[in-house]
Amino acid sequence: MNLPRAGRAPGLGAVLFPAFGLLLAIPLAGAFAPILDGGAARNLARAFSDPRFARSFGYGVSQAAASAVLAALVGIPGAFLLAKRRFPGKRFLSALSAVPFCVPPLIIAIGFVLYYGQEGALNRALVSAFGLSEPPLRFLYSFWGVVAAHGFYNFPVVMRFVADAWAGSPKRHEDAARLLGASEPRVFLTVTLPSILPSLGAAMSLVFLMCFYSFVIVLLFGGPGVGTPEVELYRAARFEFDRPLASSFALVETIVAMSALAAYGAFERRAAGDRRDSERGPSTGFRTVRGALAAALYGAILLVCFVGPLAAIVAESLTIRTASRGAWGFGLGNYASLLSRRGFGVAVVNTAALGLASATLASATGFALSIGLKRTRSPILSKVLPLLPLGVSSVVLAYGWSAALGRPSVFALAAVQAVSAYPFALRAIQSSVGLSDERYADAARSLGSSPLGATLRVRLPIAAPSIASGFALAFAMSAGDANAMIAAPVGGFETLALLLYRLAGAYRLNEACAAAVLLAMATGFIFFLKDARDGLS
Amino acid sequence: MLNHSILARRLGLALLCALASLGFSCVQKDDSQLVVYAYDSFASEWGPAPIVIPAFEKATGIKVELVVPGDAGQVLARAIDEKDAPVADVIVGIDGNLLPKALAAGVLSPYAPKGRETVPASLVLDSQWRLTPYDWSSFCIMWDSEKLANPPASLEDLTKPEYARKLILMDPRTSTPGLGFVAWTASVYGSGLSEYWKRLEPSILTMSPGWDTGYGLFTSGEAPLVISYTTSAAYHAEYETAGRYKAIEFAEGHPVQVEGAGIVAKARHRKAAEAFIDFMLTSEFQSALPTTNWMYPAVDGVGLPASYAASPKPAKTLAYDPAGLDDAVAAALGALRAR
Repeated sequence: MNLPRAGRAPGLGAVLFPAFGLLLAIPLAGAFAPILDGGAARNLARAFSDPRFARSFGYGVSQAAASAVLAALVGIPGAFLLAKRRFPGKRFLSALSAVPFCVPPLIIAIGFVLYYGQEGALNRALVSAFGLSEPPLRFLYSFWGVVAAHGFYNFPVVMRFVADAWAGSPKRHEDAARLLGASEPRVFLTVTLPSILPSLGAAMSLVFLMCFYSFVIVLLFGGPGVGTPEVELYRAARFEFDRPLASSFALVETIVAMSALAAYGAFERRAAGDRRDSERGPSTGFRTVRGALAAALYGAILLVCFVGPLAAIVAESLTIRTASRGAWGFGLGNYASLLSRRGFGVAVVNTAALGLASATLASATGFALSIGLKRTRSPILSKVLPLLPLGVSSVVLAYGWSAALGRPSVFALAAVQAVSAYPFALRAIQSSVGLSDERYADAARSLGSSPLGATLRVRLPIAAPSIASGFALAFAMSAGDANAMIAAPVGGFETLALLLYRLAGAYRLNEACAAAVLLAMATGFIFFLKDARDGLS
Repeated sequence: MLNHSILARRLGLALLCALASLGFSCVQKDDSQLVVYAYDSFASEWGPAPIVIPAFEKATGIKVELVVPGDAGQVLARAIDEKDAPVADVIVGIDGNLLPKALAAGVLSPYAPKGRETVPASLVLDSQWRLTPYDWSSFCIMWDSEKLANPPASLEDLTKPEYARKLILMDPRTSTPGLGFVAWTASVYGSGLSEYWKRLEPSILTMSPGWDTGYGLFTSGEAPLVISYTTSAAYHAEYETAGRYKAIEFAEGHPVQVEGAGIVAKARHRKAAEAFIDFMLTSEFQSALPTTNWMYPAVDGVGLPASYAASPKPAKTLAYDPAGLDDAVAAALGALRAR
């Protein structure tokens, strides 16, 4: 069946494609418009000549790069285990993937303080175990504290991306190499490694981006006076009331991020190409005792370094502090007072409504784009559009919306969150739309179906499971996000994530930790369902 | 196609929810209303708003729409953005550091409120009454007496080796007390500011993004000294029996933070706004502040709760010029980086 290409109306995509463009274009125009105030060239020159400009970019780039390397070192063994081995606790390891998307950075920061801090659980344990007079671990408030927090926060991104590639790396190629006499290390270096490298590169670029935009963790642990572009942007906008300068920072920050994004895009395209001829081999048990021991050691390191801070948050949520703060006990009191808080129910409903709205937007856009991208021949559209949101911080988007609309609105919040989440939804959806055969859609067309009908009756049902995955991911990301709401608060509209921030800000740390545990359980449950649905075993 | 129709229904439901959430963003406007912009902790359920707003509505019959753009900086930023067509009638939370920026932008209009004679002259920041002060407190270093035996007695003491990594500050770029500490050092050290910060650097454990995070680190024992307000001691006295956390008085004197409210230029509900500013100086409003905002009332003769006995009133108050503060911040941060 050969329809002339020009005659194929893109259907649904034609509507959603430009509509999505607006979701991004409106806030960006709003955010960057002030740069024209007094001449863009002059404002940019002013920004570049400010010494804090170069300093903040230097620090931002170096900490993000070091964090990406650490995340890769911690993530790769986990990826191997997820992809190739069966073992108890595999589901738990896989569920950690939810952490970078669903646990707010403030909570990670609090967890690190409660665990690695001067008075943290680990230091207290070491002091009492070895009879020391001073806490031995002192790296937290330094460059390496930032890198450790970022690296452990984001290693699940590397783990998940690489595991997907590893699980799909064609076993028959490895077998062929072995048959031809290649040693195991050689098989790994020449066959396996090339098949996971694109995913590793993509994941590291992504972690770099997430750390480049990090705010709370950098300020808290980075040592006095440290600054990243995001911090300087905040200062210019909120304390100096210098909108043109803030816009200049935002623009350059976005451009730097775009280069990381270009790397991500290039890697991701190669990875997507590999996914097409992937085959999922069965995972096996451990073959050697040494392998099992190494895996156990890895698990122990993860438990001590990464699960520890998360457990410290759970412990804090169960801790009841009394009058002098010295005496304390355990109990569910924090949860009781949180649940009985006036406005808790409303926050739950709002979280769900906002999550549904942004996840619907994100997955609809992801679906439309995944079809549109298969058809478009414009390199700009197919390369830049799917990734653009990763290069723009949600704070910039939120500012842009409130500047463009004149006042913050819940719709803008949903749009900001949808735009931030859709590259991930798209990634999930693309894997199935990419695999689905256009012949079915063409067959439907030749049997008299309209273009829209072909999309609704053929493409949509085929992609439904992966759309559901994308939807779940976007929903979970929305539920855990408070950045957009802090940057552009909407009066009276509170979600669980925002409630958590307010509790932490109102000297109610234990209740904030309880809220964080509830939030993590809810989003973790969504991830669990998604995993079950994806057939990960 | 059973799956298909379920999916379509689910999508439909999700879209409906999306549309419903759109409806939240439309707020009804009413001519008899007063629109107040306030910062988040003022408006929170633990702040003064739940007490004073209903009291004002009851006393005057004016309906208040309380809008929370974020922290005090965001309150002012929003008012500046909307300068030509203001939505707010009153903005609450402008302090001494923000005032020059508010005045330069021309967002405030003068109003001399009833009861202004009860406000001590030292708290009146603008002689034209474009800002009416409603509360104040002194910046000070709080001390955890269980973790540290000998507290410092001056800004200079803080630089001693015995206090290495024992002090938590807030970043002056993102936090009001952080900025207050820079102002404090600037008024004491003047041109020696940069040198002082170089000496101080080894004592600083971290500069947190906001007061809440930094003070949280302090109470979880990360360091025994933190920049806060003298009235923090009253908070601990109110809710915690033992006197573990104390406010230290420094020999050099202490700077004061004064918070005020003002009527927006071209406010749509001018009369209601004037009534609100008047109300802020009544004892009904003022007496709510000590235990909700944890600041001293601006009006003389308002009774304080017993816990305020724990909050020392510094013998010497330092004045500083907010206009030079941006340069002081740059000097302090520059000194930290020049290690």
